[in-house]
Amino acid sequence: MPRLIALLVCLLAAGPLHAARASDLLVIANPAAGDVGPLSANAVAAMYLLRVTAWPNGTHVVPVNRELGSPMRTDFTAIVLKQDLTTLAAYWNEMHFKGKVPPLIQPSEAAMLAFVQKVPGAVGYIDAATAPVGVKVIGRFPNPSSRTTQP
Amino acid sequence: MIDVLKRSIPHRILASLLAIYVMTYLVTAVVVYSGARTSVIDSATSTLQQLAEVKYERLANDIEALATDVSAWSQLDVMNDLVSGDLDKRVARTLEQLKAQYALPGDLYAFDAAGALVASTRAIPLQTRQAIPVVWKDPGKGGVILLGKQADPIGGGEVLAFIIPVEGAFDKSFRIGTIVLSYPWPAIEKQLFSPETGTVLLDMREGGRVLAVDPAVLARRHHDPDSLSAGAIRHNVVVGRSTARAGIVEGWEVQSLRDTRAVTRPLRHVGIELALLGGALGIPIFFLGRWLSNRLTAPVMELTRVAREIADTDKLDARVPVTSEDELGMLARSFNRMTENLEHAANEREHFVGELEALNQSLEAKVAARTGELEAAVAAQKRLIGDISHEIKSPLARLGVALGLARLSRKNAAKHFDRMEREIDNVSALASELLTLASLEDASGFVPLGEVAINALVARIVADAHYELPGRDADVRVLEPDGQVVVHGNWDLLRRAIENVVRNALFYTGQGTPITLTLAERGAHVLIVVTDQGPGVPEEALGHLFEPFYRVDEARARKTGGSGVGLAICQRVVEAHGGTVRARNNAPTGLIVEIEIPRLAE
Repeated sequence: MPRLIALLVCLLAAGPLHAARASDLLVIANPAAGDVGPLSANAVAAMYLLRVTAWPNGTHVVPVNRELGSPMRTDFTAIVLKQDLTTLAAYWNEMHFKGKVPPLIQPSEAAMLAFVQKVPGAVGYIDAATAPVGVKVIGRFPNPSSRTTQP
Repeated sequence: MIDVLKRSIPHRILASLLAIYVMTYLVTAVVVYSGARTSVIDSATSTLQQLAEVKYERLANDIEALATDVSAWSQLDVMNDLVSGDLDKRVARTLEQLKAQYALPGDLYAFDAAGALVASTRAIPLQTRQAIPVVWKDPGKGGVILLGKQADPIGGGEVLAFIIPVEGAFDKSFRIGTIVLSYPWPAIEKQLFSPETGTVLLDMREGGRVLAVDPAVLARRHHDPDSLSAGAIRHNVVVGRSTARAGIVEGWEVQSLRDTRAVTRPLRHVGIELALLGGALGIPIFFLGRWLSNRLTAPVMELTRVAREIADTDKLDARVPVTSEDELGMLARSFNRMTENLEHAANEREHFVGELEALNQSLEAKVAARTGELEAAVAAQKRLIGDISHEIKSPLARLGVALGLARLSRKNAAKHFDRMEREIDNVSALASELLTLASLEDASGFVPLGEVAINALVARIVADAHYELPGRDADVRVLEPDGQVVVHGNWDLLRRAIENVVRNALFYTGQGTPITLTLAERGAHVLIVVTDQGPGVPEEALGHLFEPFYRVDEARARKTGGSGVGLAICQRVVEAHGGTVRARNNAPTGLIVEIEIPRLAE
């Protein structure tokens, strides 16, 4: 019991601290992606903008986005893609005519994680606070806007 | 009824006509009715076929639309969440929305690639870890799979299941799960069934298994769905079938059924009308037939009537009117000829019978007369014998007396002997007379005949009378014509006959009374009339004068003597000569005896 109380106290103390600290953005991939080293933001952006469609081992790349307007998406767009929404919209309009559609949407951290876990070649991003279980972390980007991620 | 027909030809003809009419009409009516029925059933079959086609089409369209819908839904972006186990319930929400939006009567299930139930419109606690039922497992052919009618392994009840494999939008080869739409079978049936016809849905791929059947149809089929399967023989129903065609429900067949009775109900009016028409036509035909049969058989009936009349009354003068020149007319003529012949024969028979009767009567009369004569003869004979006995007895008695007296007195013996002699002469004379009479009674065949001169005969008789009674020779007068009067006969007999009459007249008249003997010829006869003016005889005695021993006055006869058979002999002799003798009284007194003898016998 004293240890439980100590843990609770610790959590209550560390929570605000943790939230206040800038959380990293982890780019995760299905293990079927093969032996891929840490990728640069540009390499990840290339996959998300469908410029690269296959992993080095040939597995089809399946990029997964968070829903539009979510903080993680905003952050990812800013940190990894480094483009504003208007530019992206123009880009996808152009791609639409080529028969290509933007990446899939997974509306939550858990769904993102589960999707990447299950779909071979899938690539997604999660907050570093979430344990990247069953996935391969292929990039870690510091998130300057230290915000508490919403599940 | 049969008896009536057996007894009457008109009834038989009428019955035959009616039977022909009824048979003809029935055959016609049956042909018309069955033709109409076939046509109605054909048209109903065609209508039902169209209906079945429409229903099949609608059903197929609906199911294909559902399949398309579900297929489209499976490609929704949100279905990618199946990969992540629909943690955000987006799939579940989408399914709910789709169900509401499309007003789906069934349930939608979403399974992940591993076959675990991820989302459904049915409230199933996910903790139960519902796995995809075996029957819904996608064989991996791709595209929509329609599972036919089967039990819903999750929700229960009969359903039609659409199995749609879900592929990743990112990678068509990546299988992310399965969407199943379990569409309740009652909804299909509800759409399929219509109130006016019975509908049956069969799966021909399964040997015509009955998938759906209208409860109304089933109720009429004794709730035995097997009786509706494709292989079963169905009676009393008209069936329209949809044609087989390719598609998601390939092999299904919609059948629209209607009871034949319901289809042919309008025909009942036709049937009733046919029956009424038959009856309406039958009435004039009946009367026409009756008129015709009466007309045809009238001559026969008339013939029968006349024949019966003849049989009943024996009147053969009845005749049948000959109304035609045909066989019946010939029959009537022959009949008339026959009755004429019969009548003729009957008349002849009657005539002969009449004649026979007359003959019979005359015969009877003759027999009666003969009998009378015989009786009279017998009586006369008896009387004759009595008279003879009497006549003989009296002289014999006197002879006896004289004999006795002669013995007593020898002195007067001579007188008595005289007397006795006289009596013997009397008896002898009587016997002689009787012999003559008897010989005359028999026959005159053996009497020798010859020409007899009556003048000479009469002269001889008158001479004899003068000799016998000398005192009366002045009284007898003879009147005779000039010349010989000759007859054919026997001299001796004729002499005795005439002599007896003359002697009779002399005996019964006193002296001085004139007696006239008239001789005359009258035609072929000779007339000898002896007339006296004596006392005559009573009128009633005239008829008996010629009978033997008849005496008008017994006492007087005794005194005058005479045998009593003289006139009888006279009559026999005259009759033997073919003549007649009559007696009548003379006026004022006396007797006239007329003898009439044919001059020459044949």
